[in-house]
Amino acid sequence: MSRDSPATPEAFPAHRAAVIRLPVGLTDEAIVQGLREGDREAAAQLFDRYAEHLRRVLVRVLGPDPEIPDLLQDVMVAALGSIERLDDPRALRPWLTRIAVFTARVRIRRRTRWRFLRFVAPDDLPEPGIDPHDAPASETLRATYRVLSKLEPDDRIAFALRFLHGMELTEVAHATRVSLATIKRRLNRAQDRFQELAKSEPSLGDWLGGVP
Amino acid sequence: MSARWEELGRRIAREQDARLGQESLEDTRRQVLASLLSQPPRARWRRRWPAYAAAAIVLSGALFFWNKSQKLEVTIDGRTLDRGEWIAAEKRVPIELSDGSRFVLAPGTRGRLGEVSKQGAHLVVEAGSVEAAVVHRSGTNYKLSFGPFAVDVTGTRFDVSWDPSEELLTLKLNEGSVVVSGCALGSGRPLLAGETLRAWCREQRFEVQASGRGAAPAAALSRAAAEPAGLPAAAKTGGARAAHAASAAAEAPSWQALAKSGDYAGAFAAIGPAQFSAECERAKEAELWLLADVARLSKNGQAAIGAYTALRRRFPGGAKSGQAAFAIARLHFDQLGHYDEAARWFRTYLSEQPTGALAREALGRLMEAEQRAGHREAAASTARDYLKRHPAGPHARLAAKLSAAR
Repeated sequence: MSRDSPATPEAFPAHRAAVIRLPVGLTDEAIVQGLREGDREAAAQLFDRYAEHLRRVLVRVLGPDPEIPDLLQDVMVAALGSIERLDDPRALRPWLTRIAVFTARVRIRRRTRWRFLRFVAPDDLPEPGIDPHDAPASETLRATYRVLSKLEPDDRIAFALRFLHGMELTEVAHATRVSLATIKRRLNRAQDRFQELAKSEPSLGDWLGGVP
Repeated sequence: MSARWEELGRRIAREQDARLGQESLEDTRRQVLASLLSQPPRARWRRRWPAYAAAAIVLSGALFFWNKSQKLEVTIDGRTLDRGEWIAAEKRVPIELSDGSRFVLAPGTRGRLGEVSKQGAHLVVEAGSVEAAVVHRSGTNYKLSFGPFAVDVTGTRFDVSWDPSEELLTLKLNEGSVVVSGCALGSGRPLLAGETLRAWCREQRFEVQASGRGAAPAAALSRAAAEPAGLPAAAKTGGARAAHAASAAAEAPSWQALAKSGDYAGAFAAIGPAQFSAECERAKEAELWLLADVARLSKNGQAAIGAYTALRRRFPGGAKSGQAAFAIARLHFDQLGHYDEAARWFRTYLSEQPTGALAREALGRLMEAEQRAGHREAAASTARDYLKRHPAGPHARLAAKLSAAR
């Protein structure tokens, strides 16, 4: 189970309750049905229930990125535009997760292309969105994503979903549309490479000291 | 072994969650729901859903760019409003924009829709009152004009009115920040959440009042006091304004908080163009680097160059000094198209850090800058140097081409 459990209607902030008119406890099936019938309230319900989860998936995979709000919007718009393709409405959450992972993957590839075109190593200029005042914690975060940026995109995604987002292997396999065996291979490769690259990152030293 | 990986993951996740806790999803929610409002009627939508679905899934990357390249749609009661159209509000009239932003004109308000772009719109108000709620996105750029005054908006909520007979502008800022310029306000006065501005053009004066807990007394200022002179605001306008600024700042997100949340345009607006230089003189090294980031990432290239230059002047020889030279070169190259200046700064970086981490890129970019500036011989010479040092570098192909050119 991933670290962020799905938001329940009871978890909505009190100030928002006044504008949510759908019945409390609406099931995923009912949301999907509402979306297929063009119900805008269902779209609002979908957003309120899953946006936070999807944002976390994007952030775990991509790290600090000023485009996260736009990417989240892309995920939601893609989901709303293709809701008819969802075979099993009970699988709404993993289906959305899959779209978010796909969107993040496109973003990673686009960054790679951008890096090639611009001939600039992203590590050498400051990552956007990081506050230098909480340097110790931020440096670990920054170093982690510096290392992850040097992994193959598919290995990086597997690593981020499994270890940063805390998903089970089967969930990672489903989100990335590959077999369990493939995910295990990707994770092994990602762990080996990460461990090797982490040696050149002082802020990961404490953590690395505990890895045999 | 697995426990160590999970421990690292938990640590990263905790930090990310703490950051996310400070970032509202409200803007994105409004945009997503607004995008539904702009879709075709349901029957057509359902008939065409396979096409939309295919486009959404297969071309999600393209969608990203597409969204950014479309002009916003402006509607009143579902009818599209075109550029230049006159609006005379006999009752409350909501103007909706396809990015989720909204302007509600009070009864009696008169105005005209100006330019509309993919990032915002220009509303010219002749007289009356407007309630504005602008959704912030990267690059958001809305402008409202009231007689001689202009309000630049990147994402915020405010109520504003313009009385042409008194030449009085009143703006109450509920959320975010705006920059108001013109007449008594000179080249721009940033306002923070909770502040109310009243500006009289005829009398060349304005006042800003903070509301809420601990509100300071109104600060009345003449135009002379509002003009920047490179000094900190508090030093220039006295204790009352300093207390007022402190009170207002306590209620609104600081520019640092806005930068941390990725709202670089908002952070830049919160500092205010007029105060940016003064802030660069006050900031410590790490904060000065962040200031440069704010300007660079909000596409204020000249301000960013000013910040990097201040960093090099105030902290010479530091670890960041060389990186600042490289960043200045990039800004000249990428944002301003000043290729001669870019070349000069790439050379500066290379002379200061000939074996630095960015030396290979700097040499390659120097060659590109010389080529674009029309210095063919210099570019060919740099190209030969590049090939000698980095025969398999990312610029090697271009270097081979340039070094062979006569």
